[in-house]
This record gives sequence, C-alpha cells and structure tokens, in this order.
Amino acid sequence: MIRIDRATWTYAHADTPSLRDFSLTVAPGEFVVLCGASGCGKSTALRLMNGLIPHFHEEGTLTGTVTVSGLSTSAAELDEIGLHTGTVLQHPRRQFFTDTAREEVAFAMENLGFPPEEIRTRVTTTVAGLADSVPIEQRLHHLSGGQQQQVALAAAIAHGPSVLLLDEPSSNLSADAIRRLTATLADLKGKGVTVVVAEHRLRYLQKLVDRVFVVRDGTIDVEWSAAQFRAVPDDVLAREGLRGTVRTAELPTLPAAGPSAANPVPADDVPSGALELAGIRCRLGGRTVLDLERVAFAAAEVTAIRGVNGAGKSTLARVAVGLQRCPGTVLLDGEAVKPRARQRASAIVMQDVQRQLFTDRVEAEIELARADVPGAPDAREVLTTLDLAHLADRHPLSLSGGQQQRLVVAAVRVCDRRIVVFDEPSSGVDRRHLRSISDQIRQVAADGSVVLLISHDEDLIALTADRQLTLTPVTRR
Amino acid sequence: MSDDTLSVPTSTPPAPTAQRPRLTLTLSARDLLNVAIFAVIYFVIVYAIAMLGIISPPAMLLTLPLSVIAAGVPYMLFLTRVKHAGPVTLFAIAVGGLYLISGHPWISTLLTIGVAVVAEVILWAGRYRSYWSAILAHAVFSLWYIGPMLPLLMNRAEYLNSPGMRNMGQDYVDAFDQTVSVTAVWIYNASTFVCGLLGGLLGAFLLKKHFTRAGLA
Amino acid sequence: MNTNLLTVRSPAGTTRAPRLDPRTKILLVLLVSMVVTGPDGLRFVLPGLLLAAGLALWEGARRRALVLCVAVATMCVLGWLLPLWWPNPLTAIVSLTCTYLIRFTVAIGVGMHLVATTSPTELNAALRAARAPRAISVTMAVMLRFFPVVAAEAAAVRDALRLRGLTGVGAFLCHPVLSLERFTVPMIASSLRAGEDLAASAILRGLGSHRRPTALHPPRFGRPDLVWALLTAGLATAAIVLPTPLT
Repeated sequence: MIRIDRATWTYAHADTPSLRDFSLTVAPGEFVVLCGASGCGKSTALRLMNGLIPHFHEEGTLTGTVTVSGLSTSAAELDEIGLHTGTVLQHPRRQFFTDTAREEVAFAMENLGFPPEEIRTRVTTTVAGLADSVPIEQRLHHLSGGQQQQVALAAAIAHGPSVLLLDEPSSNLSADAIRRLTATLADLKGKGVTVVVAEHRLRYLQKLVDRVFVVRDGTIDVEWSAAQFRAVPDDVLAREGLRGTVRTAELPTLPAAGPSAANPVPADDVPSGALELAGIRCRLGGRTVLDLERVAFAAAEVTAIRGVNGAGKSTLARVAVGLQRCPGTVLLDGEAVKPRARQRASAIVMQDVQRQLFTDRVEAEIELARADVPGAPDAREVLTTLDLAHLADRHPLSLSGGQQQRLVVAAVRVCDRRIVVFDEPSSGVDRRHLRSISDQIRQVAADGSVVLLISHDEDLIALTADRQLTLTPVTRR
Repeated sequence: MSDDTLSVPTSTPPAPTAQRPRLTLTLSARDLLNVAIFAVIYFVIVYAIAMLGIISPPAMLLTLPLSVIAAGVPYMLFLTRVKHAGPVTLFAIAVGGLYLISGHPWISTLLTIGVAVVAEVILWAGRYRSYWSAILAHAVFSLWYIGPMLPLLMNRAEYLNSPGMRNMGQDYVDAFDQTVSVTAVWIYNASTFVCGLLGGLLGAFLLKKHFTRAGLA
Repeated sequence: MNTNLLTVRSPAGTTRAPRLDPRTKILLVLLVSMVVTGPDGLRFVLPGLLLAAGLALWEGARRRALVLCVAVATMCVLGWLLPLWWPNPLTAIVSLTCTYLIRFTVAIGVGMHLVATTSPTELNAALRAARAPRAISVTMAVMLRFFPVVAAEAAAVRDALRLRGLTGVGAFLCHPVLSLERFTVPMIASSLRAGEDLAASAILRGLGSHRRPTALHPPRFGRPDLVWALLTAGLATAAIVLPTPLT
C-alpha cells in the first residue's frame, strides 16, 4: 500500500519544485498508471515511492509524508524500502549490474541476504519463466530492448516485493515486445502485486488499469477510473501530451546487397546515390558484424537504419562517417573518400549528447562549430531559429535533454556536413517534442545532407524517414 | 568549494587516524558507489592521456605531466562530493587496486594509499570544505606517480646492469648513475608535485567554469 | 556442466566452465606483481609470461596469449639484442626502458585474466569470503562493472572530438590545456550520467547496505585452483633453480 500525503519536492539546483502538493493513495493489489508529458513529475513521483527521493537525490528539499508498505520512506533505509518494492528504471540496459540473466535475477536477493538455497530455487523458477522469450545464456547487452526489459522486470520482482514501480517501460519497445510486457504485467496483477506505472503510451495497459492519473506541473490534474479511461478518445489523450496506440512504421525499403541486408537484392540492382558503400566487410572482436556488398544513400533524404541489437546499425554509421576503418570503398558524390576525409565531412548526433558539448556557453558551442566554416550563418541567427536564443548564456550541460539535443543539431547545421547520423535521438527526450525532433532531422536533410537515422522508435521513424534499411546479424560461416 | 578561505575549526576533534576503525561503518552505499565511479573516471583519464605518449619516450615527457594535471579535474569534482573522512582513502585503495591489475609494482599501490592518508589529513584540517586544502590534497595525492619509478630506485644496481648499459662500459654507467641519481629523481618528484598543484588549480577552475554551472558539483 | 579440467570455455562463453576462484586470481596477480617488480625480478619474467599466456589460453583468449608473447619477444629484442648490435646511449636508454616495461607487461597479462573472467558479483562475493571490509568489496565490484561504461564514454567523446576536427597532434601541442578541458569535461559529465541509473538501481537492490549478503554461487576452491597453484609453484621453482636467460 502506498500513501503520499501532500509531498512537495525540489531537486537541488532547480528553481521550481518537480512535485507540489502531490497526494496519492494506492490500495494493495491495485494497478495504477501515472501519465503526462515528460517533465510533468511522474517519474519523480516514482522516485518518491522507492525512496530514491530523498535518499539518493540528497540535496533537494522535501515536505509531506510518504508511506510504502507501512514504512515511512524518509526514515527507512533504501535497502529496507527495496525489500518491499521492485523498480525498473527507464533504460534497463543502464541498470544491469551483471552480465547474465541468472546473476541479474539473483542480485537483489544476494544483497538482501536471502539464504542461498532459496535464491537458487527462485532463480531457477524465474529463469524457466524467462526462457520462452529470452535466450538465457546470452550476455545481457546482446539482448534486444524487449528482452532486456523482461530480464529487468524479472530481476526487480524475484525477491518478492509487494509493490512494483515501472518508469516508461514501453519506450524503445517494438509492438511485439509491448504485447509480451502486457502479458507479464497481467500475470503480476493476478498475483496481487501492487503496480504503479509512469507512462506516456497508454492503450496497451487498457485492460489492466484500475485507475489512471494525469500529472501536470507536479500535481495530479485528472483522475480516471478504468471505465472512464476506456471511454476517453485518443484525441483527448493527445491533448494531454499522451499517446494511445503504438504505430508501426511502414516505409519503402532501400535496396541493398549483401548478407547484412535483411532483404538483399542483387548488387547490380542497387541504384547509385550521394553516399555509396561497396564491399564493406567489417570484423570486430573476431566476429563479422557488417557485410554489405553494395548500398547507396540519397542526399536530402532521411534513411532509417533498423534491425535488432547486434545487426550492425552503429557499425554501418561509423563506417559511413569514417570512424571505423574496414575493407571496402566509400564513395561520396561519386568519389572514393578516405576515412579521415569522411570524418571532416560528417557529423553524428549521439544518443547521449553530453558527450559532444565542449564549451561553457550555448553561444560558444555554436561559435566553435562555425570556426572553420567560411560563410556560416551567424550564431545568434541559428540559435533563434532553433528557439535557443534565450539560453545563449547558459551552460550547455545545464539545459534539459531536449534543449541539449537541439543545440547539437544547431552545431551540426552550422558546420554544414554532408553525412549526418542521428543515433536514437528520441530516447530520453520529451515525447511531446517528438514532432520538433522530427522537424530538426528533416531540416538537416533539407540542407542537402545524407541523413541516417538509427532508431527503434516506430513513431519517430513513421514521422521522419523517407526510406528504411533493415539490417540483420551476419550468420557465422 | 564555495568558500575560498580555510574555515576555522570550532572544537578540537580527535585525530583522524583514531577514527579509522569507524570509517568503514560511516560510509553509505551512495559513498561507495560514488568512490567507485570517480575512481574509474580518474583511472581512465590518467591512462587515456598518459598513453597518448606511449609511442615514444620524448612524447611521454609531455603526456605524463599533462596526465597529472588532467587528473585534477575528476579529483577536484570528487572532493566536492566528499563531506567526511573515509572516501578519500577508499578512493586510493580503489585506484590502487586498478594499478595493481594494470601491472604497476605492488609498492606503487601502497604508496598511493599512503599519500591519500596524508591528503585525507590535509582535507580534514580544512574541514573538507576548503579550497586551498583541496588543491594541496590533490598535489599530495599526485605523488603516487613516484610509485612506478620506485623499483628503479630500489633495485638500482639491477637496472644499471641492464644489457644496454653493460655494453656502454663502466664509465658511462658511472656517469649515468651520477646524473640520474641526484638530479632526475628530485626533478621528477618536484615536478610531479608542481603539476599536481597545477592540476588542482585547473580542476578548481573547471569546477567554477563548468561543473558548478551545470549542476554537477 | 563440464567438469573436465583445463578445457577451453565453450563458444557461447557464458556457461559455467571451470574457472579459478577469484581469490586465487587475486593472489596470482599479487604474487606476480611482487616477484616481477621486486629485486632480481627478471628471473621471474619468463615464468610469469608462461603463467599469463597459459591462463589466457585456458580461458579461450588466444589473441591475448599471442599479443603478450609478441610484446615480450619485442622487448627482449629491443632490450637485449639491439644494444649488442648497435651500442650507443640511445639504445642503452631503450634497453633500460624495456627491462622495466617487460615486467609491467607480464603483470598486466595476469591482471587481464582476472578482469576478463570475473563478474562484478563474483568479485564481490570472493572479496567478502576473503574477509575484505564491505567498503572494499562493494567498491571493487562496482568499479569492475563501471569500467566498460567509462571506457565507452571516453571513446565516444574522442569520436565526437574527431568528427569536429578538434583532435590531432597539432591542436594538442598548441593548446594542451584547452584539449584537456574539451576531453575531460564531456567525458566526466556523460560518465556521471551513465552511472546515475546504475547506482540508483544497485542501491535499491541492496548493494552496499549493512545487511550481510549471501551468494548464489559462494566462491569455492576447486580442482582448477589446485592445478594452477601447482603449476605456479612449479614455474616459481624453475625460476629460482634454473639459470635465467634474461639478466
């Protein structure tokens, strides 16, 4: 049972509280969804329930009381709360502590001091349940996003907590993986586990929810019962910054030849384009990760690169921009270009954009990018078009994730690169801004660049890409 | 890192060494993870920069001091998150373990822990909140760089007897012994300390320029 | 489960093939570091190389075994043969450096076996079994987990710098401090961010708490430990008794 009574929380370094006067009571066995646009405070509310606030985020200010399974979270130790709650954070891959599903499932029980015999029994049962959908012997970082989610869920509940907290579990999942997630959650609900999900996609939970809360500006705005929620039409959800169903992106396929292509065509049938890769055979760590006989990307178009983990998507991008050397030729506008020259003609907008913010002011970041480009547009001008002008004097690292991404895109546009790669640009960014990310990418393509978009996000791909290239792992020969 | 002055101790606390048995108990899980994360960042930065010079010994003369200076950046940020005794010493045990695995002589690990205890005392004297004691602590901690050189001093005769030296004849070896023994060792130690001070200053500067404004310090 | 001694790990690499107890591996690292960097350490270099390469082969890392042997062979040539052919002050210094670095190489070889074959939880359990304080066992385990994360962030920052044309020897020499800033600041910021979720999730699941942890597979000394202990003892005896080719 969870009872939050008039909680107000301000993160250190923040000007406004993330939660204000937030009150919520969840009965045992209830299935509750907190929804709302990112930044509304729904993830913060979860962190309040598992004690990360105030124990992990130490320097903020908290008023109000939170009780979970009879424990006052501010008085109890984190591991004590952890005994009663299981948490799955947004990116399962980032929270795994071990390499294998077995160890991961055992992890919490080991630390909480369960008897080894019991750990063994529970691990065996859990792993047997996972085996249908997850290759158990595989290393965790080789699994697909959906499989990682399954392992993270199993690891969060193996020690038998009565409360399960999930932060945007469906982000980065395929439609198929979402169905499996729904089944797992239904099973848990059947077992009487109290479940709280923070989510922006809602329809997949339709049959499970008991109550839905819309969070806005750190407080509960609307409450729907299960029946009311089912009656809410999708356009009302959209107005709240929420998504109903997941759409599947169906795009024309880019012809490609070679074992890495999911639907290979004969090499002669591949038309030419601004960026052509021929005879690319890339081996890393003793394994062939990419084998493409011929593929060509057009300028001024967005090509989505798709495929399961390990299919060679990032390797393809790294070869294209010249960061990865391998046998084969890369032609840019009809001329063979060496890796180093390709580096000078390329840019990547990385998944974690913090890696590519080098200066101490937003404006300086743009100045650095335009330093060696004659005739580049004025920094102020670029910032204004991207709605960053009011932030010109801020430190880039102090911006929100979405603003940081816009800044990196601005820098890319200023330095005028022929090949631009976007690596999972929608992960960790406000869903409401999906449209604006998509516009950014389209703009870069409109500037005349070859744009490669690596993404698992069907919504983003449907919105943005012109064509798709699906890669598949190269089988061992 | 907010105040630039040494804060005055209000009472006479017990010597930090007397608290040591209690230290491991007062470290929270958050402290342990923090130490581990910063230790790895520190190690990777030191190696990434020192290894730029692996191609030739003259390049090493540039990259080695630079890596001492660069080490100040993560270390000073780490110190802003240390508010009591313990983590600084644990940090040294942690990086010391990494040194051991990466082939450093074991005595280097001992030295690392030794200088960290001195750094801990300096920080403690500044109540873990003093600007200058943090910089001094980094300079002192940087002296672990002497560690990998210790075998060269301790087993001196053996190294002077290396095949290349033997071939140069006794006179050359004697001359080498003379110059290197007195001058080089002290220049090395002193320059490490100076670079450590510079690294601390750079770290403090970048704290102000970046990490505080980014909300990380 | 494969109980046969000295078998190479299965290709999948994840089944519990026979491995050394992490405590044995730590002892081997300490032992090799002590003898190789100690007085008369060159005597132990070749036996240490045999140990490191043997462990690598046993674990299935043929490439590492090869690299170690090639590295040591190169240093032997540069350190011992080159000054014979061409004695001058430069080769004398190179030779001195090689007699020093050759010891590092051997010690790293043994250390790499520890890192490559030990999972964070195994290391934690083993250090606990060896009565290391909680602070040390937890910190070491987290470092082992966090190492690839930080290394990946560092590589990504380097890539980003390369694409922006901010790397290169020229830029580095002209503005060394600016280059340091542009590398360290993003690298630290992104590593801390990557570590945030990991730390939160680990602490929620009880890591570093004051409870007494247990282990799914408590570390146990087995036959591989005995075999490798005997092999090591044999190599050490040979090192002391037999004349050494490297002096």
